[in-house]
Amino acid sequence: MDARLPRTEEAIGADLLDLVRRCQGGDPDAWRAFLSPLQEIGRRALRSFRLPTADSEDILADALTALYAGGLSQFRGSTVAEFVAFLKAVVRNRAIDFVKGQKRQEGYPEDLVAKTGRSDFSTEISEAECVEFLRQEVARLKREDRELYLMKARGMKERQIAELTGRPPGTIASQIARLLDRLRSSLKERGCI
Amino acid sequence: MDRLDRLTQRLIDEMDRQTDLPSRDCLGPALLEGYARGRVDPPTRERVEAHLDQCLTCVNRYVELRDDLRGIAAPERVSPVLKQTLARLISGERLERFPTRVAGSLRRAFVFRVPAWAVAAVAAGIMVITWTVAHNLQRPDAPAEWPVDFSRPGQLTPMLQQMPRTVSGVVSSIRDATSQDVEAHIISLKETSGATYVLFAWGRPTVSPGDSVEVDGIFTGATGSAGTPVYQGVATQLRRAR
Repeated sequence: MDARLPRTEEAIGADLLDLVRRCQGGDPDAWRAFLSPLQEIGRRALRSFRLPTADSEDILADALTALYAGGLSQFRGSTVAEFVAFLKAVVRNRAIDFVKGQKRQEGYPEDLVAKTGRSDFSTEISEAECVEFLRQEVARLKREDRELYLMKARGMKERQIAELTGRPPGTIASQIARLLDRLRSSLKERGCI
Repeated sequence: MDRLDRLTQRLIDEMDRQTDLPSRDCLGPALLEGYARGRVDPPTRERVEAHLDQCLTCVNRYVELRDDLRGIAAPERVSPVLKQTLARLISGERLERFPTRVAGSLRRAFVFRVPAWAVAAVAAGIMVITWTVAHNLQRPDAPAEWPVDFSRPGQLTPMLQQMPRTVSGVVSSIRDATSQDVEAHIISLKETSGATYVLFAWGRPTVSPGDSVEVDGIFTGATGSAGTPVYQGVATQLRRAR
């Protein structure tokens, strides 16, 4: 599966760094244009937290405030990948603070980890073994299936995956369903399910 | 969220942590970005794909980065919450900048552009002028002469140096001078010496023509022919003569 980006997206990615430099210089128009990439990258960073939309927007607004107050000037990288990683770290840190503040019990990765940590030793070993087994199973998949699994695991919808891969959503949906069934079967044979 | 979802979530979390600390063999962010954008030469592309076939962590990073770049290229409409937050931040910055700018200008004007000795000299000058004016006001050179010799206008004494006086005479006429709801009148007084006083007084008249009165007042000027001077002034107190 060759789903590399089309040419039009290359230019936009290159412009992002210029936009960041203008924001660092305090250009209000640049900040207005910056909202789009912040929202897109931020929402992707928040997918795994599975937060309500209102909470996600509050976290993004909080991250924006931190970046505007000088956080963005901390970025010293020279590639879009570095900037995306920087932005995701800012948003994730805000989300972790938010989740800790809310003290919610379920649905967030940190809480799940903490919950697992409070369980007994044998359960923890079992969970770790199953995660490692899942890793090996995913690693054995064809690269195309691996990418499908990871895109789905990251919260992407079939429609988005279809746009990215250039294949019909129905095909993607059935392919993912078969893939997950196969993994469930493997985990069940292993005793993880 | 079933068991597979939970295990998948943990696997992704672990791989994300490994992304923060990639191994020596893993692809760098610049190379991965170049590959995602199709900006690598064929040999490099083959090398990258060979690595992606083996390294689940890098595939995870590649999938994530490709999704991010896709989102940046085709963004959804920005939420009103973000727009409002930015508007508040920008307007707040402007509010802070204006007083800061004013304070900076003042600081530069007084600290850097005006020497301290100049400020001290101006302050000393103000003190000298204030002392001189106050001293002259409190100690006039000479008492004002009365009555004034109006044949020489230059002899008219400034009003502030005149002392209040009391004159007496017979009221010859009273004219209403009320203006804009301020009640006032002008009273003409004939002194026994023959001098006439035309005096402005506030309020309603309390005397009538033909009454003998005493008037405390300040006299500011006069006209008239020789022998029959006409003084002008303001009556501060007016009463019937005993």
